[in-house]
Amino acid sequence: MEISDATLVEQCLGGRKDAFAGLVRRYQDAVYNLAYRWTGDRDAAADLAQETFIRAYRNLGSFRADRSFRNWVLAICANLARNRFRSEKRRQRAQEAHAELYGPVEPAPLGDSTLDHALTRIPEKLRVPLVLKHVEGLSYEEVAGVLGIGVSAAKMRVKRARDQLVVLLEGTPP
Amino acid sequence: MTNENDRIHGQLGRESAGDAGPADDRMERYRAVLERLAASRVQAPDGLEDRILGALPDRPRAGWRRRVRAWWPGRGRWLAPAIAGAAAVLAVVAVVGPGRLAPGPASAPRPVASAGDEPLDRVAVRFEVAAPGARRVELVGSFNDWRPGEIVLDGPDAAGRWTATVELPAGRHEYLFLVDGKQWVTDPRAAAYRPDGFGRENALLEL
Repeated sequence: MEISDATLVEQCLGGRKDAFAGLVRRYQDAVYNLAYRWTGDRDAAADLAQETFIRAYRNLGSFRADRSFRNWVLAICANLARNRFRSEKRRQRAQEAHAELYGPVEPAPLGDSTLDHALTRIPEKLRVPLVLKHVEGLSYEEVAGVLGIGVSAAKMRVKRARDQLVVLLEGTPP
Repeated sequence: MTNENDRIHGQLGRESAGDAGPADDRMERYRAVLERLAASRVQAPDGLEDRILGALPDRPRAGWRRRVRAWWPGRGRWLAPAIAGAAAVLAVVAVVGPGRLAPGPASAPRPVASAGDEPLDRVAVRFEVAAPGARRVELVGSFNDWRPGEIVLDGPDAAGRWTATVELPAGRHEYLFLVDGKQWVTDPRAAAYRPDGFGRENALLEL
């Protein structure tokens, strides 16, 4: 029988630091995937995932057992990513300035390079809800909760991202 | 991937249920792209777990909810502390007397210590009013049937204050100061007031 997330959290709060390993094992892929889709960079994604779990551990006392730990930790990741990359334009400007000096920076692909490239061309505001919905399998309500937006906004962003992805991959609108 | 495909298929089916018959081609394109997207989930790199666990702080911070919960008695454990608290309150009321615990004025007049053999239903109250230029100040109220001349305040002191300590029965009293036998003055430091029907405000005192 698998130990529940809430039990592992209680064990952590009771002083068993090793119990947190179980939570990391369960959700590191989800957090890393979100971080990677947010940053488009493997090293930055690993840093963000690490920071996310450290922040989660430090604030375990505020976790509510009636909530989903996965969604809670994804929301922490989203908040950190939002704060770190406050402005897509600022990042783009930095990349452009860097490109002038060293050439264009392309994220190193981890698998489907065409898809990865297409995803990087979708604005972060649309890309992240799309990943949460269609890669992590969250409901629209959960996407809205993780990103702190309304459910209708989550639906609209996912739809727009889906349409853009089809255009980017196939060249014509759906 | 079968479950993933089913999930995407079901979701697109639900979303298109309200459409007026979307083209099958469009649905197929959506489906193919979303299947590809679902398969693109990246895995955390080797060693990330160790890296995270090695960087954790010693202990999590206890949240305010847990701090409150730790302090609050658990289910079925609140009865004894509640009874003990109630008993302590009753004991204080029995020793001090309910009249002493009744809310009184924030400032003068205020109850003062009573003599040891003084009945508990009478309270010594100190009245005080500033009337620097006055020659005589009297205390008149419901406790002496508004008769002037019975309670005369001492004063003035260097600051122009007039004072008197009077034993009064527990209950509600109304009063005024009579300055120089002609000017009615309400107590500016009373806890409450009540119109007297003659255009003045009687000071109220609850003991």
